[in-house]
Amino acid sequence: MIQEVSTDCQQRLEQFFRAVEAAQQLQDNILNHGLLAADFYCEDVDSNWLEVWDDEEQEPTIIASLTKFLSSNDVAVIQLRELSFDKSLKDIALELEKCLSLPMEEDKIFAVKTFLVDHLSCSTNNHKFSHKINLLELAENLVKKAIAILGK
Amino acid sequence: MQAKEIKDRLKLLVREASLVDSDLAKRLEQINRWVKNVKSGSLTAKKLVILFLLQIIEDAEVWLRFKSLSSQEEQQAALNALNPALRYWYGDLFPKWLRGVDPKFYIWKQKMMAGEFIQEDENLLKLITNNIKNRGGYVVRRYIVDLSMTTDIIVSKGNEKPLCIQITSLADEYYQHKFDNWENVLRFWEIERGLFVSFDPSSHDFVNKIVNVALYNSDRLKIGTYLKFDL
Repeated sequence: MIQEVSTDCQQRLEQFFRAVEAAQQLQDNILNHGLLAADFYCEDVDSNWLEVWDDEEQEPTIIASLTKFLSSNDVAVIQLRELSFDKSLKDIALELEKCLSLPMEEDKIFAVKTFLVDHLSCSTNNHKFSHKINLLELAENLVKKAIAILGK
Repeated sequence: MQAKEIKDRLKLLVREASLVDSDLAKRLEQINRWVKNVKSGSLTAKKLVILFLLQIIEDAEVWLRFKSLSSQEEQQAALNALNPALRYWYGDLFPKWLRGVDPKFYIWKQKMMAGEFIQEDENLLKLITNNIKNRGGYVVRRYIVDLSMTTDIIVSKGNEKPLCIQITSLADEYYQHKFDNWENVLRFWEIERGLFVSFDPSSHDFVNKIVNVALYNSDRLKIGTYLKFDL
């Protein structure tokens, strides 16, 4: 167990140092080559990428719809709100959207359930309600309703 | 990489940041909105914006990897392993910029997009940076630091303290304006000391002289001192 934790920590540190190295490499390329450095990283700088930057913006709509759903008086959502999480409503909406992108319905439901379990905070409120609420059923209801709302 | 992939990376980072650090998410969304609201730009402006976006993406990646470290001890160990200039950037100035209100943001982004902001002293900074590195020093240069914090480079000599340095030619028409604002901007960002070096571009060996002054002062300049040095 200690070995696993240590390896995990080492990996996170390595990822951090790799990211720093990439940032410094970019800095050096800009310093040494000026604006030409843009062509090293991007092959279509002179295309119309800027003009079409805002096309196909779907995410805000999806997140906004899910956030609205999570603020509604739907039975499943009321159950969800009876529990206390260490995440904001928007965070839960973002996670829900991520879970919904999984291919199989079963995967979506289990991903939501895992998220609920992982972020259930240890409040008194949760002790009061958690024994009454089946998290798997709650995840299933949330996924089904969210799919219906988003028309997926 | 296609330019569209830069946008995709930015959006993925916004999503990840929303779960980890709302300040970072807000900044990235702010930048995305800014780019979205501009419908065209010259090729020069496009290159500059691409490089700026890449730089903020790389720094956001670093920040997210930093936040993924599970304890304060782990985070401190990670910062301690960086050279002092980088440690100052990621451990102090970058998080300050994420958390704070940047009064210059709406000014410099317009200049950048309009192609007005072109780093004319880029070649000089390249010579200075390489000279500092050859002498065992470290340099951090970021668009944010330059445009929001009136700092050309953050320099540290070996493992000594990092210093924010602004370098301006006496021939620069904005010289006086740059100097007038410089100290206030540094104080605004709670940058405790700074060096403003002005040089005569016609003088002999001015690159070496700038580097000498920068490295000499990086560790020695006292807190609360904002030194103007004419070469």
